[in-house]
Amino acid sequence: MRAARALASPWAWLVIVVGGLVLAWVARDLITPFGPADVRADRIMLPPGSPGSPLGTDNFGRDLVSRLITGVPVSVAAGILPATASMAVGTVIGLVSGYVGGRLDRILMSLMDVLLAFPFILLALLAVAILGPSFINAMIAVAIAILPRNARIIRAETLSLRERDYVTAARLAGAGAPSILVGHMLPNVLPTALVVGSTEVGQMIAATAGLSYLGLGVHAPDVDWGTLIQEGGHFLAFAPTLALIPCALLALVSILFVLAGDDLRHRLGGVSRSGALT
Amino acid sequence: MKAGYLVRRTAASVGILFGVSLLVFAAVRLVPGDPVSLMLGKADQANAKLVADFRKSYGLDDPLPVQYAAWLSHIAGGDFGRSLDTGERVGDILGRRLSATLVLASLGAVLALSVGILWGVAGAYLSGPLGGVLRSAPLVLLSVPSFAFGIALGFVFAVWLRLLPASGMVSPVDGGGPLDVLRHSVLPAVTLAILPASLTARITAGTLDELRHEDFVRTVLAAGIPMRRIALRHVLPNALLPVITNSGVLIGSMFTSAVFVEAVFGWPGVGTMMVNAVEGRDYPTVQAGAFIVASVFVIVNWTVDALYSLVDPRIKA
Repeated sequence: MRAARALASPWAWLVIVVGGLVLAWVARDLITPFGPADVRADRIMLPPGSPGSPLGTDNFGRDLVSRLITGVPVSVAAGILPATASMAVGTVIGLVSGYVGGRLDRILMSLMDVLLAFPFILLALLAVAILGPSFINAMIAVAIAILPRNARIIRAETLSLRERDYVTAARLAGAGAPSILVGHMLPNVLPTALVVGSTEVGQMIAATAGLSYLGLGVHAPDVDWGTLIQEGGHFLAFAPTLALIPCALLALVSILFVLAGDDLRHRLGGVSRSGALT
Repeated sequence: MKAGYLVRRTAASVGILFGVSLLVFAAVRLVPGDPVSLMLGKADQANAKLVADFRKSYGLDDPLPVQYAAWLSHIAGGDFGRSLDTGERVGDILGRRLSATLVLASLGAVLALSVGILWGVAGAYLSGPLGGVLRSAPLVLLSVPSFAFGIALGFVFAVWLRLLPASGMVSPVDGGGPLDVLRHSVLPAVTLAILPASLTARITAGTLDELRHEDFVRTVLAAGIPMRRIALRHVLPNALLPVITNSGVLIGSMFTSAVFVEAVFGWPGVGTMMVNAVEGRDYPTVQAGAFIVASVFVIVNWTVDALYSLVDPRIKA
């Protein structure tokens, strides 16, 4: 009964799927004898179900299972790192801007408004144009692209907390701005930051993989699911699984992260967001 | 009486446009490396006089504010410079690419709005498992990247069923007419519509749910007006307002999908133009594309706010 209820939670599925993928990565040498970059002229374009390569091989004879597993840490990091970094910076900007107010608030929020004028991908593309295409830069780019949204959400939360009695009490007790910000405001905006940030993990995985798909993220010989989809896409007519399997895996993992974030939102209450990346 | 609100919104939009132009201008100057090394060959770079002439003719030695003013006045005159890749005028490229994206986006928007609103209404009013599926599906669909959808749809309808073309805007041999473009745009437009349709469904269902418990609904219900009529005449018009307010978000998310959809289906729009320009370090094109697309969004958002203030009597000066 309890197990059945636990399985209804997206968190259980997230732990099972992502945990399983990470385990597979740890045990990758036991799962497949082939390395992700092992070019085998005798094993080119094997269909799924072939002995030794249950998901088939690509046009260089590289094993898809091995390549998918190699992409696990990259793809998971591509979600967690930018979401965390962007939410951390957004929290600092939102807290300071909302609490200090005045001219600083106006300057910071005008800057965020200018950034918000760019659709998500356009800001990411602009960042990649400056930084140059690489995996690290793709993560920085998507973190920057989501930053104005995070800062705005935390600022709105800060504004509503600023007038609470306990904040006034702390101020009257002689606490300075830094101690109020860290001691009283931060703990109270953390649930919002956590909820919004955790929903963004899934979106960041998809966005970073997207930049790789566009050829602006991970580059050969490195592998992530986005590059696999991009390479596999050329063979959609005669070996569709090469693109469709990584697509399905990417979709599954980002769906689970988003559902888990949404579940957290329901548990903690409040914070209604459309969940869209503009 | 609403003039005050409109003036404030207009001033804010002009301020944001100014910020956008500054950011785009600054972004390209932040790129490491010198335009000289990008545009001149190795042998020419060694020629000091040639480099000096080059810097002078492009105004690279002027102070940054002067360069910015020159850039802005060129843009105001419709001159976006030339592509470093093809040497074509960027303004011409943009015009062609924007119209291709517009074809796709307008088809996608019509599809997204009609399907999304119906979907939201059905989700809010249907009970039982079907209603539950309709209510939770948008969140799931929102988290699937649009290129994954595009590849899946392309596989089913182009490769498997062979019903529709999977790439390009026109057929290479005998195509080119409006019907041919329409046939090519079915798959990309449907893929493009999935995300905004899900968003619209989510917004509509959410608003309908809140509105059901409003006083005015109870009042008309007490007056003996049938539920179906209340839903169509009293609730739905109010539920459409948030869709209008969120249309900025909707259009923004559509652009993000469009970049991926254009890449999947080889559609010659602004999205593929930007991606190729970023990849090929074609900075005049990146600069012009980013500036124009962001400006379009500022103007769209301003229009939405203006419309909204006209539609919603609660907004006052």
